[in-house]
Amino acid sequence: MAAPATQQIKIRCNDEKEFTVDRDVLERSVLIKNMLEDVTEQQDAPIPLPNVSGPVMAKVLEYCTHHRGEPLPSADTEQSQDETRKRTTDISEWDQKFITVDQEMLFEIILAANYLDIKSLLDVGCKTVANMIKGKTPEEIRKLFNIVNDFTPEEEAQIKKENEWAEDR
Amino acid sequence: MRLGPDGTCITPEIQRQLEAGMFLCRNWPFPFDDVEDDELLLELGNMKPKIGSIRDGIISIRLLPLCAQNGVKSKSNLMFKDLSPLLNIPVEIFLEVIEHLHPLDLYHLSKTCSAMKAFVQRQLIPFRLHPAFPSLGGRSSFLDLLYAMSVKITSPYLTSYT
Repeated sequence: MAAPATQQIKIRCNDEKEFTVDRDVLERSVLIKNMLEDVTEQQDAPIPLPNVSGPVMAKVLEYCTHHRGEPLPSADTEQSQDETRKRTTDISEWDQKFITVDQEMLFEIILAANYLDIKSLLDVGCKTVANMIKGKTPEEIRKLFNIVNDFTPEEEAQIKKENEWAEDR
Repeated sequence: MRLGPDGTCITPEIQRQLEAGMFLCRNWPFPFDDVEDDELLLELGNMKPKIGSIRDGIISIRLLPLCAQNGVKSKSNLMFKDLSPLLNIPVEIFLEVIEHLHPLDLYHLSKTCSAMKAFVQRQLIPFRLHPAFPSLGGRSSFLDLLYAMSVKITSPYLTSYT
């Protein structure tokens, strides 16, 4: 029998920060949803989430709360939507505001979404990173993501030569 | 106390090794048991096992990326040591990111560092890029198009997004 939607679930992050959240909000995470379905008896002990810190979990919960009630993608719909999803990097206005965070937090959210198996949040994060890369030159991408250029001068010259055709765009 | 799949206790030392990416060869199931063969081959195609240590009957094996061992050069270790978060996210997430990129953006990304270049060149991902790319007769043809010097002569119209 399905649990009532108002059931409160406790979770504990890796920094011991605890949250008490409505079950339907938490069930945006497939990981937690499966955990809850595996537990037959109601338990008071918080669900440990060793890979997520409190501040990141707070952001994730903000996302889950906003999107609560929206249908979770099923295995069938997920595949059919997959191609469409990959063909666009459009992000809704609320999601864009939500994901406007510093780069460290952005990647933390992406990692948390991957761990918690929240496909839509992972998608928003990946699209945001892709949008940050779009239209930038290699040097701009290096600066943006703090990537060290380890090409030798010879390789650099070769790349510049190869790049000439793309510089005209 | 945590127990392993065979009921043995996971000691702090074993836990430390697990966290360090070492796979312990005991009577435990192979760590990729639940992965499809094709996916496993794709992933392992980029990895090379390296024996770590033998201690208390436990052989520690670490899977290192090929580019860190015999790839472009040793500097490509940057992919795993660099402070850049983009170079430190798990491969499956990185693949998700680049699936949203236009081939030209992917090309620019591959020119940022040797690890990125080696990684992009090794992947089959170009075939799943957005927008759908015309069939070019195989992976090597696509990579030729991306990296060959002759691209300007053969495909002058591919120099813009539209």
